[in-house]
Amino acid sequence: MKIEPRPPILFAAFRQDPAEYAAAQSLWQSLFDGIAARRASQLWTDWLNDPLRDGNPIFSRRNSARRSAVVINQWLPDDDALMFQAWMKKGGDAGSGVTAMLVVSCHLTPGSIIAAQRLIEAYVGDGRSFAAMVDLCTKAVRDAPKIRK
Amino acid sequence: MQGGGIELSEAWAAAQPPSAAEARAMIARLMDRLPARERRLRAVIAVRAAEFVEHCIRRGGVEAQVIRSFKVDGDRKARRLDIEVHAGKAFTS
Repeated sequence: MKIEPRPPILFAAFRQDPAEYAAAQSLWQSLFDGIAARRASQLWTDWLNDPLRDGNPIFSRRNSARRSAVVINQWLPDDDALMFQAWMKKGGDAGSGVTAMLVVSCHLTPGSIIAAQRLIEAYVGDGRSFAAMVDLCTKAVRDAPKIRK
Repeated sequence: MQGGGIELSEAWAAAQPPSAAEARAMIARLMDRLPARERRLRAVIAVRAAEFVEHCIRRGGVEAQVIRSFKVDGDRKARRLDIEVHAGKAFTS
């Protein structure tokens, strides 16, 4: 287990400051749109609400044709000592048409952005299968650092 | 309730949105279905999920679509409890 001092958290006041929330959301949106643009035929639309505006989730997109979604939960160190977590989730409902989703839950750090980008590229850009994504998520989380609380 | 090899759910599809008491009961039923070790690991997130429901009720409920994850702190196996609202409004009373 890797225990590391706290790295700088970007937009750490996003729960108190609407401007920081919007900036963090914009960051995830830009990252996603840059990857999705590689497959221009795919239409990804905004999806979930964040009822408490606390980053759970801060960003989500779904694709009805692929029946897929990407969800980003942005957490703070007090929420979770693990700085980066990702999993594949089956399910959804008939209304949304989503049957599988990539969920990334992380502190917003430069390292987490890179790790998230790799997974989104694999899922959205390269169209990797559910099983392949499970493996990639497992690998990404295995080496994710933990912080001291 | 998911992650760590667990895949359990409690669904509702009633005309009326689930109340706080019903949501608490669903969380309790999920906890009861877990092996003892998993129940211990997830005790804190069950409380946090119930607190979320109470919070929603105080603010008049939540509109679909919502998927909210309550994850075990520091866990690499993504042990968690997800609350999902796919249609309508939930946690209004």
